[in-house]
Amino acid sequence: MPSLHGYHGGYLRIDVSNGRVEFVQLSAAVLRRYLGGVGLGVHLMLRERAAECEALSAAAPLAFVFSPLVGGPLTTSAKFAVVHKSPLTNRLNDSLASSGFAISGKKTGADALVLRGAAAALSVLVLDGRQAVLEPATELAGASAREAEAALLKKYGPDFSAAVIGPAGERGVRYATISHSGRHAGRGGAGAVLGAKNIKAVLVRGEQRCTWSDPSGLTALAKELAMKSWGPATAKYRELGTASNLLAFNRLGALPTRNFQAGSFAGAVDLSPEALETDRKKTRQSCAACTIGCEHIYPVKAQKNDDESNNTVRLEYENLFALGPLCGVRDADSVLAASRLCDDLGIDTVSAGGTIAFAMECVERQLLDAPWLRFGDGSAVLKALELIGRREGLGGLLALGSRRLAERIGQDALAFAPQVKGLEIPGYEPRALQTMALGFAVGSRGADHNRSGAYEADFSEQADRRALSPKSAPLAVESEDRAALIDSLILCKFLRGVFTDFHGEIGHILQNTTGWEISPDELRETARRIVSAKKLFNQQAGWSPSEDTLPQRFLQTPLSDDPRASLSAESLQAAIVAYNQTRGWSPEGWLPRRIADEIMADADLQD
Amino acid sequence: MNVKVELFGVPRARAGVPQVDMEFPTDQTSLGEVLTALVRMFPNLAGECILEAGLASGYTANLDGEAFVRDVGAKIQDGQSLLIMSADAGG
Ligand code: SF4
Repeated sequence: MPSLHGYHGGYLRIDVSNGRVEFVQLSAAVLRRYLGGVGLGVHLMLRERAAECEALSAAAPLAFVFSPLVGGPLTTSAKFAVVHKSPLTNRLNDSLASSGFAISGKKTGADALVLRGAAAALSVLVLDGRQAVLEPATELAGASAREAEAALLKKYGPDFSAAVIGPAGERGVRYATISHSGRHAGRGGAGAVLGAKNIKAVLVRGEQRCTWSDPSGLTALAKELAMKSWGPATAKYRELGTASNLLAFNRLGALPTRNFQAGSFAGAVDLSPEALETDRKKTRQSCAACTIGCEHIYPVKAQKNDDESNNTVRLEYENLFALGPLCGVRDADSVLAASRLCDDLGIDTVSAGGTIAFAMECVERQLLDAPWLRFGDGSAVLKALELIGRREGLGGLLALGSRRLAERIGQDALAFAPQVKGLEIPGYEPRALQTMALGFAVGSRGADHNRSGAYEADFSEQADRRALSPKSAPLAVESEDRAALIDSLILCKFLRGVFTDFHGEIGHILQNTTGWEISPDELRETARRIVSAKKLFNQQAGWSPSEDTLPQRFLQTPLSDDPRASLSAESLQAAIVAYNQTRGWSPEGWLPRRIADEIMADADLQD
Repeated sequence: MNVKVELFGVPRARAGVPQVDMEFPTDQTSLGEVLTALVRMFPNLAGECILEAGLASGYTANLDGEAFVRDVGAKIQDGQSLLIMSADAGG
């Protein structure tokens, strides 16, 4: 193989039932067509025939995927993707996390790690370069992600990095996360997949570095990008963090409240970062290799059994919305404590909050017998989270996510379960932000604001946010394609505002890294291919057009506090058809044979 | 005429107030005129949130919680609320 810059040219396939490791080569052509991160991860899932596997079976592959930029000088590039079939949606899932695990993982000498099989007992996979050892981890059973990571780094040394699961992952909570250094590959249940393999943690260390095609050119670009990252486009993230969305969303009636029964919340001011900062001393942190530093860390009031080292939490808009307004909770201390509990248990805050809020409404409607679980009660949220983490009592049902819970309850519960394809809806009220509603409906991993940033059109003059029309379809496609590129490179999305010529600048970065001359048109084609590959995976896993929709609540009932925020099934369907046609798919959303064959030909290549 | 300006996120932090009532001696004003008057009241908004040509690229404005506007010529009527916030709603 001619020498590759930015890549090692292959992945490690690791059988965690016996520790056997195989290096599987990847051709330059495949790497160029799928880049890395999410794009390469989808390719690996197709290649490993993951769609055919039951998500929590031993056979199901789980990939940690790096990217050509990891280990280089570019700001926000220390990221990795976790890609697998989701136990929540039974569709493709890709989630991202940051920091040392990405850098150390790539130094093992591989562009991705694909885990298959299952260990006989709870174990730690220790990867030192391309050598794998499975070590027993029974003493870590039930440990929080934070405790387990600290114990493992103490035992193995600080030159290792660890991706770990909390108790929820061990117990198969379908929205369990994989954590690293307090950050989470959060959505879609990667932690449950790792837990089903009996792997508490993956430790990585290595010494193999990739070369760059033009190191001095790349360093100059990195300096330029770092300068831009200190400018006004990222001020929101640096100064207030993502939580600063809260009051603006509330004012626009776009803040999901009480299980999406309203779009504004009377207690929003109490939860705003401006209010939180008045009597709490916050600190700021950042992921490795980041010049923005969007992480705002708040103190949490001591709960029983707390230790001194666990009295802070990283606060994001999504935790705040899901554990606050969505559950009707306005008490900031409860929301901060609930957020930290999710981190300790290793569960996705959006799915946890969404499922609890849904259960609260079921209790109100007397569909569920749990009188203690009431909107507005912060201690009830904490109790529900504890039960979920232990899968005890009602927690066993809540651990399934809102769609499965609704199916168990029956009657009309599915109509107001806040999910798409089984993934709980994040903090963007679909009736108030209707381009985003389209993005949610067609999203390959379900309702998702990270793979589709269609809300940006709603926040502009380009679309009428409360009147979805087929004209919005190209905006949704464009936003999804940009996300596919950023998530494959991988760079942080919070950097997106600093690019003035997105495709040109990305092409330049890739050229200095890999040596490939990549035109803006090639990048656009790559993005479309990656999105189509996700759809292909879903088709193989049983996707049908009927799942590209929203729950009936959103299509039948206007927002109670903004009657103009109304979305009909007909207008959503018309926009979905336009979206599919813009992508070159059939009006129902099926991939044309030609596209599917081309993507599968890549997956079938023997490199 | 009176325009209520509501500030969110970084614009609020720079101005140090959540909202301000502004008086104009005409029946109708424009986004550009309101932005110019805002910078006079809160010089910290200049250069970052508001440029000479209008809103900086990371920011947007909204009238009464309804339509988003960026064109400095956009008309603003007596009694309207102008919301100024980050254009980047990501999180
Ligand atoms: S902006 Fe925030 S999420 Fe993005 S890399 Fe930096 S610290 Fe991490």
